[in-house]
Amino acid sequence: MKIINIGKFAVKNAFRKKTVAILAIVGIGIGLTLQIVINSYSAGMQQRFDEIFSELAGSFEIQEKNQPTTFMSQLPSNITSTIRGSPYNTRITSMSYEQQLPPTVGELYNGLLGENMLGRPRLLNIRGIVLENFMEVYSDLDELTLNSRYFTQGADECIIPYDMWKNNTELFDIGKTISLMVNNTYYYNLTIVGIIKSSVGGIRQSFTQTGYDVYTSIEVTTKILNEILRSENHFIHYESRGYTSVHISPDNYNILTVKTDITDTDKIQEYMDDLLAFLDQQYSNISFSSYSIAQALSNMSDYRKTMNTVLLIISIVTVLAGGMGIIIAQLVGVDSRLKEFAIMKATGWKEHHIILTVLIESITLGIIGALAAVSLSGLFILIFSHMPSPAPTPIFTPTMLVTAFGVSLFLGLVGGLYPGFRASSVNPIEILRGG
Amino acid sequence: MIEETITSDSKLLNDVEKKDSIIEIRDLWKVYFPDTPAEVKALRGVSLIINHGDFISLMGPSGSGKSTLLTLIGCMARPTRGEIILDGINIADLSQTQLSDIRKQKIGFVFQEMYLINTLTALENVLLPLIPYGITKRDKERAIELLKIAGLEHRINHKPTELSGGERQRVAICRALINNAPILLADEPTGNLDSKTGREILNLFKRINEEQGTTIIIATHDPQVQKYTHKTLIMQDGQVYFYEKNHN
Repeated sequence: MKIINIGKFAVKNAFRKKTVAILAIVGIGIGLTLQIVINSYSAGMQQRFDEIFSELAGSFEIQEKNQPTTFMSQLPSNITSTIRGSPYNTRITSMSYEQQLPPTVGELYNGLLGENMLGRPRLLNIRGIVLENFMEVYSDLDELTLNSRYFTQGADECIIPYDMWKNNTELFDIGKTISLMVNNTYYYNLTIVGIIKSSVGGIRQSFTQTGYDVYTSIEVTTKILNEILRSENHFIHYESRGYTSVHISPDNYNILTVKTDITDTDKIQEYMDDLLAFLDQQYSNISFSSYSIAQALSNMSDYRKTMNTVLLIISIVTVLAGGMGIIIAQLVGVDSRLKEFAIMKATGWKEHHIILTVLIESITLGIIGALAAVSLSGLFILIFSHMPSPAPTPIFTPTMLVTAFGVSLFLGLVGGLYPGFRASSVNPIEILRGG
Repeated sequence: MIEETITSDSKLLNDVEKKDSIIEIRDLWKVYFPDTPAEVKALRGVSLIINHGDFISLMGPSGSGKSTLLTLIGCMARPTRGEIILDGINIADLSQTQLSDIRKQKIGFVFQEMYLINTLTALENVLLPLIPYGITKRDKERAIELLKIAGLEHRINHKPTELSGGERQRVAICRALINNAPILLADEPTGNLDSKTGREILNLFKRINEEQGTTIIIATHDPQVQKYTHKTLIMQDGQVYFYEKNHN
């Protein structure tokens, strides 16, 4: 009851110096907004990294060495059986091979897929897979939207990513077809049967954002590649774009993803090196390269730590600046009300009552600043998360709310402490002396 | 006919009836900046007794020690030497917290400047001294009653900025009385008011003294105040001289 009375009184007095109080709130609001936005992006990135690590920690991709694009990489069609027969097979839990089509097949949709973050037109990346194998390695296809289904292996069907559907439902929807160009007058149609919840497709696509991953069965991509090579009339179109028949080989895979039970990123490197040496030995005319997304991300951890430290320092400095705002606001307020505090003391208020009053006043400013920061950062995060960006979706967690209010409480306490002591130490005699 | 007597303060202590005293002061000294070139002996061995229900004007030139005496009676400073006994309690050896308690329980202050808080209503300003200790329904009723006595029943919910100077001073007087303090100390309460408003305030003091039996000491330069008080203490050079009026 007593504290409520003091609290009510203090809250009423928090805005005695309106301009200074508002400036303090703005200061702490900006500081905390920055802190929340940084933390939410950091949390989003951390979650994304954690997801990728948990999914791909023991996985790596094998391609033909020194090929500029994935579809140009030509892996031997018996590579999986070679690996299965090797001593390294014991650590392997699953493998997914994939055949990709040259981006030229999507030329019909040039200009209709929007632009990526670099302002370049998005491309279609047609990925031929064995659904069962792919899903053992990746989770990208795990979630489908309502009324979706997976393609039937071997059928002329495909599934598309969520944003591709969302951004052009007229063109891309369940039951509609995607026409892939074999030559200028001949198209191979795939019926859309499913929409996945991943925004642009696979993990790599989510980083590069070059276009949309469209999944179909590997039998279909093989058929299309065969169609391209079937007649000179067909292939001439590809030759004119600098491709040779070496780049388009229906019998080969382009990329192989190997999933192992190894979780240590250093050990996976060692394993990859050994396996590649084995493959080089087995296929003397081909060189192989491997790539672990999880390991690449792990290598970025030092960079991330530095970035996080810099951002943390920036947010701390900004928040402290806001805290200084509270101290200044309270000092100005207290200085202009010294006689009022003297009266309070003269009428029986004790020093701790006055300190408590000033503390509650400064905490009020801090809390209002935190409320403003939470609203503002929520708005910013909402806006930013709807902007096309490869950055992970920011995450707004209850911990951030607690932290923001905790920081504001701390700043309110620290900011009000000195002014509180100053106010409480006023001598009521000064009033009697007319000081 | 008014019979006037002037007594030195040493005689005053012995002559006054002590059995009903509320304030006893013995050999009170207050020295500012002792043992320095700037040393000021504001009080020089003041001794006096003030009884329950006394209504006293404390007069004297600037620097005579009026405010210092009020400060010491009001428990806001410690004497250099001597004793102050308030309602039977010797306050010389009390801690700051105990002095705060004495201020809350036994003393109300009214100042030349009203120092009301602009964000609070008249009623809330009156209740200000009770805020840290909890405000009961009865406290609110008493505050309203005091405001009614002060003729401010129609101004209860007005903010200080909406009140005249006289009304603000009346709110300040009600604030000084909210604790049911038996002693009311006023320092130049009419100093900033015009003569008509000043008379209204003095009438209010008189009414409070008569109806509630509150002991009131008013430090003032205004000789008109004496017309309202029972007794006058005259201070000069840190000493008190007693000037008593007997209305026959």
